[in-house]
Amino acid sequence: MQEFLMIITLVSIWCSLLIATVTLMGAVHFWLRHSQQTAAITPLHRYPLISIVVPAHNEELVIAQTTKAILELNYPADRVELLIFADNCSDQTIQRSRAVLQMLKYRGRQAKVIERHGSGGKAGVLNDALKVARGEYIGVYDADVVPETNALYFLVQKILGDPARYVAAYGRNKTRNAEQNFLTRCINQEIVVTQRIHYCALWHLFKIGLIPGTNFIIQKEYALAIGGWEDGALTEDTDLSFKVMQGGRLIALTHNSEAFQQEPEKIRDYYYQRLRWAKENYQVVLKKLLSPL
Amino acid sequence: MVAVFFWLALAITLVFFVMTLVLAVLQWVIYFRVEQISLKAQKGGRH
Repeated sequence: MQEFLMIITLVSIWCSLLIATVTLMGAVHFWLRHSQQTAAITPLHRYPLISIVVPAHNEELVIAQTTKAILELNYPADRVELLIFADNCSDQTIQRSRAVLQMLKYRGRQAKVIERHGSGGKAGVLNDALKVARGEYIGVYDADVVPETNALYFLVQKILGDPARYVAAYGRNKTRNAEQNFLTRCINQEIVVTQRIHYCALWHLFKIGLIPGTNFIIQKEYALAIGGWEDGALTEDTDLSFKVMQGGRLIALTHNSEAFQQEPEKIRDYYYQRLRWAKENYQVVLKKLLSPL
Repeated sequence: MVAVFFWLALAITLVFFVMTLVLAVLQWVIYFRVEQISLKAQKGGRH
């Protein structure tokens, strides 16, 4: 019995080591192929209209910077529609985002702030956005995320590479407050490993893409066809990723599209954020496993 | 049984060790290439 347990233990260790090695090999192969290429910003053959949705719930501290960053994106101004959803806000989010939109240099831009008092959280906002957005693609940036100037350009460039297969494209997120304290430095390391190794390997080896919740675009018609986001789901992106992959389409990784996001600065916030993600991710996985194909 | 398993474990450990060395070399190549591109970009920016 003792020998049998020892063998089981060793085999399980080897299995986890093998998974880690395969992932690392995949990522290394991906970066070997991309490490000699510099990203070129060349005109696209067409510029689809993109509706960028920003779900904001009491985000008065960060909304102005995010709004400006989106309006400054390297993408034709007349091909971007910005929809800021002030979701059940009780602070100055609406006033601060409107103040940015009224600035002289942003006048005439297709941008508006929509006050929302409904339920459903972020998923509810995104479903509401599907009804009013005019764009061919819906882009999502959280209110505390600042996209790099070319982030949207790279996402669109990736999708236009094979629009029949790629219905969505997602970029990489970096930690905006990495230098704040020891915790944010650790989160930064975690995100670098997850996104530069794990995500790249999954895409490179198996063409598996996971919508990360921010810095992504999805074809509006396709999102409508699969029923949009599940209302009230906290990890609505996992659910959507499953739906897209079950439909036989791909979520393309765009490794050079980057956005900077705010991470928890207190251990308690970090714990509850990860607890929520874990619970909801298991919920989605169990639901998909138990539901008939 | 234990003897056979000992040699199997040893062989797998060696395979992983070799893979680690290969990965280390490849990662050094990636690092070197990225640094080279960054340096070129910095030089280009100065002129």
